[in-house]
Amino acid sequence: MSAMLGVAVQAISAALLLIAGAQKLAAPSRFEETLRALGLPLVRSLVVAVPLVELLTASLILVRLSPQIAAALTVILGGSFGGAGLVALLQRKTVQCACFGPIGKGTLGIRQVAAVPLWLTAAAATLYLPGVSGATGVTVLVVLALSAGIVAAAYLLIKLRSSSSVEEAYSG
Amino acid sequence: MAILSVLILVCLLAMVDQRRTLDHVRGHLARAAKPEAIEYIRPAPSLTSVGLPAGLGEASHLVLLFLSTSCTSCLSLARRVKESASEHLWIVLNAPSVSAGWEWIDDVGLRRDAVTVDSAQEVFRGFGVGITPAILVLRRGEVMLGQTVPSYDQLEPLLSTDNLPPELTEADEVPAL
Repeated sequence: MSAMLGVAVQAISAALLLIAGAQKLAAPSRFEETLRALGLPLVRSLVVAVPLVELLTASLILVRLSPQIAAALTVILGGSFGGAGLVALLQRKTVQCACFGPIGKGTLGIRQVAAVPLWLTAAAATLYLPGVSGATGVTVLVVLALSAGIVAAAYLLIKLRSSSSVEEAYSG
Repeated sequence: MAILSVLILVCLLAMVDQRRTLDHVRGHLARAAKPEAIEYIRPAPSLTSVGLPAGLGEASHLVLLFLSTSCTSCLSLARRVKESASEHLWIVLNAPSVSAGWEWIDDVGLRRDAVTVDSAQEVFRGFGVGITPAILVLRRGEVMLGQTVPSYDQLEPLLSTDNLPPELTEADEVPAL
């Protein structure tokens, strides 16, 4: 039972971090706007570094080379996002949430603060619950990435089938 | 393999974002392309006096579409119109010469029997139309509506009598249920 729970938490945590990191890398402008709106320094570095850390964390959660590092990164990420929500609340700013890049229309605030316990839970699960590791973890990572890729590809195919040419778009 | 699959995912998500941006731009263009009323001579001249076929004056619903061979959006519009095959449409084409006009019509694939090549601008000047693409909607020879046509979306509803706005239907016509 605890193994199943551990694997489930592993997969969900890794999937969310994978999609969040990949989305930020694929379409960084929304995340960059959010960072600038928060008044953070080194925005251009953070735009690349944060999603890479998310992807690294997702990989470490699944592969379990070092559960301690994976848990520490999970706590750091959760604390950062919760802190961003808190800053937006305290400064009474309306800052677009870029948690999953351009997807989602929410703003930073109480949701990010409320999600901190979930991040801590995920970190604890990484440390104390059994789950996949090693080659199996890599396989799960590949499956998650390709599954998300298939969903993205299906979306594109559907849109392509229903679209008209650029000329027709301009001429109606 | 893991790195490759993540890279593939990032690339696909980038394409999704590009597509969403394109859809957003298209939506903005469609909203921005609103037809505007045009100036035209009132009362309108008789259709035969400007060189149009006599039978057109009897039509209960007629759309005169004014196009020009030098107008890029006219070409795009004409290509969409070609597919509509509406019996209520008559094209008036401004061209540098009659042969150039027919060549343009043939290149687009429009029916020659629903076109007037107006190289002398007799029709354009007769109605006082100074912009293309534009339409005049006539009911039994009387102009009921004159506006620009930024896109085919604005023209299509007028090519059929099924869903005309009230001001363009005759008082004794009962809309289909």
